[in-house]
Amino acid sequence: MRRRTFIKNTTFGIAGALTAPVMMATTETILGQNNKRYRINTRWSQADVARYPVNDCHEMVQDQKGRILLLTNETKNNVLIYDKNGKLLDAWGTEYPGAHGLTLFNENGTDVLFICDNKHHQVIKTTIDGKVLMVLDYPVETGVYDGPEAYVPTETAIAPNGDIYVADGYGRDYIIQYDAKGNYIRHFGGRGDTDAHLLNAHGICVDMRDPANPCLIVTSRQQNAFKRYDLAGNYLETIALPGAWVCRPVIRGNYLYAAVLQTDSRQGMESGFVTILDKQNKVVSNLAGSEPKYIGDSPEAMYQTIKAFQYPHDVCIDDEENLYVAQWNSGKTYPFKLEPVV
Amino acid sequence: MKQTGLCCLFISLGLMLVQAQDVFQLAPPLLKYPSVFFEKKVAVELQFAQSGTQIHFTTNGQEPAETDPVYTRPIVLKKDATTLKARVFGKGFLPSETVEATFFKRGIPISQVIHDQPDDRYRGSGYPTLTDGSGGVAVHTHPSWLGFQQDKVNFELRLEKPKNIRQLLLHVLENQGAWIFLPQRIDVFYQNLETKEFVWMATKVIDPVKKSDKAACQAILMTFNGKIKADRLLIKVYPLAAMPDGHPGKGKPAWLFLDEIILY
Repeated sequence: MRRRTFIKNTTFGIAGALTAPVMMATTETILGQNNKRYRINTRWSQADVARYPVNDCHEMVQDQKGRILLLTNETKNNVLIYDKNGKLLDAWGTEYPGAHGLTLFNENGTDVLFICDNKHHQVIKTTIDGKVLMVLDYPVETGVYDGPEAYVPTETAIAPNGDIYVADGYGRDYIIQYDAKGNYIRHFGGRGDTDAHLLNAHGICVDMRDPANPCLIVTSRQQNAFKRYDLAGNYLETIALPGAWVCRPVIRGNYLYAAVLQTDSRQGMESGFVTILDKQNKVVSNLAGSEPKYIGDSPEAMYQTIKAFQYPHDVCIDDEENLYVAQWNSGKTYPFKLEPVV
Repeated sequence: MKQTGLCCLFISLGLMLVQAQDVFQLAPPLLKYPSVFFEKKVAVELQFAQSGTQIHFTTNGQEPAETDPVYTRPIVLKKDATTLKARVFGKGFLPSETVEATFFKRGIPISQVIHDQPDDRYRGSGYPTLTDGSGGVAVHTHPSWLGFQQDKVNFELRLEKPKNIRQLLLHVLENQGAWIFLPQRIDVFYQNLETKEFVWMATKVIDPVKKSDKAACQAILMTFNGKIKADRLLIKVYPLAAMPDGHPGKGKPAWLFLDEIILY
C-alpha cells in the first residue's frame, strides 16, 4: 500500500512538471457507483499465452491459500492457478472440454472443487490439484431425463452440511439436490409459468448472510432475475434485475456480486457489466453499467455504459476485496482484476 | 502496472502514460419510444446513466458530433421518416457508436391482414401485429415481431373502402447473426375493383445481400407508378432462400421478421 502511494505521487510530480495535458488525458477510469467503485487492470494475468492458453474463461474461485483458480474450457489446461498479483503458479486438467462451473468447498478443513462439465453432462468433484473424488452423472432418479444429453449442468453450490445442489442451467433448468455422498434427495425448479420456475438456471449459491435463515439464490438468466428458495427447494421470492443477464451469484460479506453476460436490449453485442447488490438485495453499483435507480421497489432497466467488458461470466472476490472478472467468448482474454477505490 | 510506467517514464513519458491506461469506448445510449409508428407526433427519450458523459443527437441524418445539441429532455418528432441519431461523449472515453431509429407516420388504415402462419415461437402479440401501430424494437424476441421461415409468405391487405395507394412500407428486422435477413424479393398485386382479379403492381428485388453485423429495423419502401385505387392488396414476400458465403448458415434459408405494414 505504501509503495503504491509513493509511486503514484512520483508519477504525478514528474508528469505535472513536464506534460500536464497528457496526464489529464489519461484520467483513470473508475468503474461503479456509491461505496463499490473499482480501478480496472486488464493486464493482470502474467501467464504465457503460448504455453497456457485459455478459451472461454468461465469461473473463478479463491482457495484457502489465497490462490486464484480459473476454470476454462481449454483442454490444454482446464484450471489455471494464480497468485493475487497475476503470477501463474500452477495448471492442471485436460479432461474437461465442457468445463463451465467451478465451486470451492471447504470440507472439514480441506479445499475440494466441484466442476460442471456441460459436454460430459457430469459434475466432477476433485481435490484442489485435480484428483477425481466423485462423479455425478445425469440424475436418473428425477425421472425427468431420458438420458444424459438433456442434462447440461452449469453450476453447483454446496450447503454447510455438504449437500450438493446442481443447476441444470443449459438443460431443463432443474435444481437437483444430493447429499454429500451424491445420493439424490430431490429436484425442483424447471421450466414453467409460475414464479417458482426457472429459465436458464445458470448459477446457484447458498446465501448465509442471514445465519438464521440460510437460503439458495438461483439465477434465472433469461428472465433477468435471481430467485430465492429455502434449502429444501421451496420458492421464496424473485429478485428482479431488469436488463441484466446475470450469471451466478457470488456472496462475500454482506454483498452479492454477479457478472452480467449482456444487456437485454443489446444481446449479442458484447454489452456485459458487473452488478453488486447489498444485503437487502438492492443494486448498489454496476461496474461499467448504468447507475442503479429504483422506482419504488423495482430497479429501472440496467445496461452497459462503458465497454470495459465484453461478456463477463463470473466474478471472484478475494480476501482483500479485489474483484476478478472471467469472460466468455471474449477473444480468449484472460481475467481482469479490479481493485476497490477507497 | 504503475511500476512499469515509472521505469519507462524517462524514455518516453507521453507515450507510456497513454499505454499504461486503458481507454475505453462508451456504450451507446438507450433510445426509448412507444413505437416508431405515429399518428401526429412521437416523443423519444434518450437514456445514459453514467456520470461525466453527455448524449448528443441529430435529426438531419448526420452522425452526431460534440457540436450537436446535448440531450436534456424528450425529443418530439412530427415529420414522416425522420431519423434520430444519438451518441455519447465523455472525457477520458472514446465516443460511443451511434444509435438510430427512423420514425414513420401510420398512413391509410388497414382493416385486416390475412397472412400465412408465422413460426410458433414468433407469433407476435396476439393482436393484429402488422397493423397495430406498434413496433420498431430491434430485438427479434420482442412480441411486436412475426417471424417466418418458409419459401414464400403471402399477405392479403383489406381496406374498409377503396383508396388511392401510392406507397407500401414493409417494416422488417435485419439481424444477420440471428439468421434474419432482408427478403430477396417482394411482389405486390392489387385487386381490380371491377374484374376482382389481382393485377401486378410492383416488384422489388434486394440483391446482393449487404453484410451487416448489427440488429436493426429496416423500412422497405415501394412506390407505385400510376393511379391505383383498391381495397385489397396481395403481397408475396420471398425470404432469402440461401444465406451468403462467409455466413455460418451459408446456403440455408434465412428468416423473415416483420412488425408492421403501412400504406400511403
